[in-house]
Amino acid sequence: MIDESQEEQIERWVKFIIENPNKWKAEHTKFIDAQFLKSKEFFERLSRTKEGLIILNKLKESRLISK
Amino acid sequence: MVLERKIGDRNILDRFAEDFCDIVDKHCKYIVVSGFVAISHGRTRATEDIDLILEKIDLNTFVSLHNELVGAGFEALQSQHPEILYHKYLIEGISIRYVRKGEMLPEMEVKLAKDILDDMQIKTRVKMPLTGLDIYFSSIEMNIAFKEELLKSDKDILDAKHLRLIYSKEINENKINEIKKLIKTLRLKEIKKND
Repeated sequence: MIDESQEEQIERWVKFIIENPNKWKAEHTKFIDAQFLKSKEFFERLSRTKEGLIILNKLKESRLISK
Repeated sequence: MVLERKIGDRNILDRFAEDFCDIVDKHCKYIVVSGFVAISHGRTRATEDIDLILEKIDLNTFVSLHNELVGAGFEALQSQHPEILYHKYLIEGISIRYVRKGEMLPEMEVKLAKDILDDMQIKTRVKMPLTGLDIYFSSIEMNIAFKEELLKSDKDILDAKHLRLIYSKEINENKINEIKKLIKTLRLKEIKKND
């Protein structure tokens, strides 16, 4: 269910994109990259624990992630 | 409208998509569809994969494509054998997921064109200068129609809204409605039949 605030966020952000053609992409890149960096950092932390290695191996065995 | 981007602005998804599509382009026609279309137009939301549709290719073409992808550091998660990937997955309508070797994300979700709607998407594919990316996308009208008529999740509806706002002056509403009619005929009937 989409609420009004989500639609307004889209409108605000698109307005920012249109009004700031030189700024928006750097902000966007930081946002997109942060998701992948956080995920990578998490799996690195997980891999340094004993249980984490077991979990990662299970994921790899199930071919859900890259070996 | 000018959405300026510089090479240094490339994010992880952009680099992944361009590196992958550069190789695919040498072997066959393709389109990037769905979420990444909205994200590459500035939509701020998470995704772990990019959806890519290949024109219908034969096994030999797929084998050479796959081998070049592997040589460039990509790997398919389901199998190392292109014959298995082709017959067990692509031909059966199941996506293959590629990642950069040793990395978990992002993934490229690859499938073959499955009907005339996909063929039409490939035939009308475009490069979109506003994205700053040198890759082929299905048209904005196609993406909006699929998101509003078929996919319909909250994130899809918001993706469509984002694209509508970005392209508010250029969008061809008649074209969107025509595509929606085709989706109803070709995809929604198929879904009902399988229920």
